[in-house]
Amino acid sequence: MGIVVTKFKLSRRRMVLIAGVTLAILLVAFAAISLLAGKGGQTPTVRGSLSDRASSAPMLNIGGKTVPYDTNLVNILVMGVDQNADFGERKLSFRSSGQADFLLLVTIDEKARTVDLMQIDRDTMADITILSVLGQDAGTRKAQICLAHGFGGTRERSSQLTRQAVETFLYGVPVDHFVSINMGSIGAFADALGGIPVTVPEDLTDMDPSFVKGAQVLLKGEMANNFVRQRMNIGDGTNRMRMQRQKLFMDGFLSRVGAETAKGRAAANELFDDLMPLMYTSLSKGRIINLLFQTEGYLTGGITYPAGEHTVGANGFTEFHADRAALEQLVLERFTQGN
Amino acid sequence: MKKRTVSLVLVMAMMLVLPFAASAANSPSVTNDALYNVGGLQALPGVENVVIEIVPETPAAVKLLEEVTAAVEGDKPAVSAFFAEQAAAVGALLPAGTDLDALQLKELAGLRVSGYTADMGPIAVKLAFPTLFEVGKPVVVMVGLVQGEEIVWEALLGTAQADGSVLVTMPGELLVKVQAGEAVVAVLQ
Repeated sequence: MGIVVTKFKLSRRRMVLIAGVTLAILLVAFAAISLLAGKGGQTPTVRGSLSDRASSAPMLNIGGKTVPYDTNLVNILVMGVDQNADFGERKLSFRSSGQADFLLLVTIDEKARTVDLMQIDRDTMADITILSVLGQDAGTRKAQICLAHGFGGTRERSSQLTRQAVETFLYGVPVDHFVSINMGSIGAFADALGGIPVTVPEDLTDMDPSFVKGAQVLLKGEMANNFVRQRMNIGDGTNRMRMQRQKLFMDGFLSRVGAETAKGRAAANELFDDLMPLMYTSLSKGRIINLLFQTEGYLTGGITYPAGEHTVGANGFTEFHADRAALEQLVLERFTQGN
Repeated sequence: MKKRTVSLVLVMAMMLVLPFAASAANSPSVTNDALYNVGGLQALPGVENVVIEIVPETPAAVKLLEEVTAAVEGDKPAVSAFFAEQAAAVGALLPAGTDLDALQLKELAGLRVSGYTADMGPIAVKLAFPTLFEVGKPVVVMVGLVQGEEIVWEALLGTAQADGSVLVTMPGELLVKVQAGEAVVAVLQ
């Protein structure tokens, strides 16, 4: 009897071992498949049939209802990061990565052949992840969404924290990729395009002697930076005039990019050889160029802004409180199936 | 929806960064430093002129963080890896049996005091950091007095508040020393 029991025990151990090994193999296989199909890094998104996508669609929790995400969409978060962001020097790590002063979600709908843009106010009050001074997860708190970036410590982690904050804010809408641009790179962007042509709209000789009203100038380097960013003691000193200069810069920039990419893929490739070092992105250069050509002819509207209210918080800083009902409706319409 | 050629939409999106970020300069721009705050002083009579500040980056705090980071490398517990000499003092503040190695270093910053006089006695303040401290869990506030290359630590028991800040009572003698020199504050939970 004792021998039988011993045999039984050995057999059971072997069964457990076999089951364990089998489970391990399945887990490794599952992890590998998940990694390949995941949205991380520069891994291309796995494309199945539309029905395949629908069956594995992430579910969004909107207003207490679970709604399937529209998997025809590709979301790219463009963030403009405070030029004082400090990634090179350690200082007080995980607190010094600068704010994401600008957040724009670009949504490409491959089925409907549309491109939609949504700007998220930097001061939007949202749940952001806090890291301790040693980089450990220290919980979440409600704060301006731009601050999520400040906790990263590295561009990758800061970008991921910002992506996470945006996803949470939008009820779980997955952000597939991000593009992070340092705000101090404006001049370099202009240089990469050989300068941006503009007509000076008013007398700006206090800024630069060549900025005579009506003059045609080619903005480069610091000159471009000043033209776009300066306000105080320049011209009439108003933001309205600065925004006019910014629009002129944009028009000139788009004109230059258009001229370069119209030459074909080789030219686009060359252009992005220069632009890629100015960005930090989860997209490869090839993927960006493919997207540019793929979306040619897509329909697009203007920029959507979530509705809400600006207030001043107890600490004296601006807060933007999104209107929850309006935001839910916006997410439902833009990001879920059947809308 | 207006039909346009949008082959350049991604580049356009990237460049939209420029106008919006720059125009935001008109209103106060919040930074991560705004999450640090010291409150509660105004409620106390006689200390209206006392200013206690948490300064996120001071030379001493930056240097100390480098040392702590090196000491805890490999996920070593903060107390035994860096505050080993203060472990007894920390343990004395907490209920018997508390696992000191479960305490994580959540915050570290410079600490400044001005306008304080010894006759004011101890002052209870609410220290707010980016971390929201959990109510009901023990909090230890370590105040470090920088003395040359050394730091002399004093451990204080804090209490996590509902708003995530830490209420701590600072002894008068300690406040005098902080005011007279350079100090740092580290918070464990």
